[in-house]
Amino acid sequence: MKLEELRQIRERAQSDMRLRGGAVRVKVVVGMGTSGIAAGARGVISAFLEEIQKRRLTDVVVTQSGEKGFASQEPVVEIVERDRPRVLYGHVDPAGARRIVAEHIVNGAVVEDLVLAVHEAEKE
Amino acid sequence: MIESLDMHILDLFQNALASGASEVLLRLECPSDENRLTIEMRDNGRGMDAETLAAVERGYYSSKCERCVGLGLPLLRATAEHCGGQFEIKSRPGEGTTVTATMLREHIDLPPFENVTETLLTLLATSGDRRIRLAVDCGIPFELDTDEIEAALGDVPRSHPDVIAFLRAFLAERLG
Repeated sequence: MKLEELRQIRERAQSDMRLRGGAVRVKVVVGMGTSGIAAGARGVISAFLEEIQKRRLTDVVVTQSGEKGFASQEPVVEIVERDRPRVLYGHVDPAGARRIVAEHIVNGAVVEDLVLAVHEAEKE
Repeated sequence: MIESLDMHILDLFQNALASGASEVLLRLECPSDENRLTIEMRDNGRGMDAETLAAVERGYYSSKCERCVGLGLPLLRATAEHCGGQFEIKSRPGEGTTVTATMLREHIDLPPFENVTETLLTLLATSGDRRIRLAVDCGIPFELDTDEIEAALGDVPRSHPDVIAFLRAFLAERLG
């Protein structure tokens, strides 16, 4: 495995991006403050990254944030999409993360039993 | 509770991101022929003044602060000192922060690694466009710089699924 191999990935990905457009559609924000990490956020991030890789979701990015004051509901995950309400999920484990990818990100259906809060989309 | 070295690394990393850093360096060393383990996280974030630093060092830094940087640091200090090592934090306002923790690799109470490949992948893949550098000696020694990755990728983001797959394999190969 050498970094040069990234150049092949680049060529493939660039033709892909020309085909589908390169914009980010969904941002997955995982709470990685101390309480989130202690509650298992590391495994949740891994599950998101694995699903994105497996399903080749080129328009989804995973980022992290600090404490948000939901310590008792950690790990928390927020799904941010253009022109759609932001959905905050709580008590997310790796299985929950896979459901959020399959049901919410791919099929557009909120995973009701994990929802903590829904915030209306901000107008741009 | 913080139960693994991965958690300490991720906690240090979140502190670095919360400090507004655009560059973060992780040095992780656990060479198989030596009884030592070093975790060092250096960032170019806003840093801390002497008063905040002293509070962090005493371990009294409150989690009720505006920005909760430092909550996990007393735990890391406790782990390092309990496991025959040392904990050091250097910081100045505007000049970033460097945290260094050493431990005896064979200490009976040393917390385990959960999955160091996934942990380092998390640093690389969930940090937006910040520059992340890894200098790792825990198996096959390697250095990795996201600037090099991005130079190879051009306008393809490093969050691309094929890049994540590559980085996971790259890390796994070197970390065993």
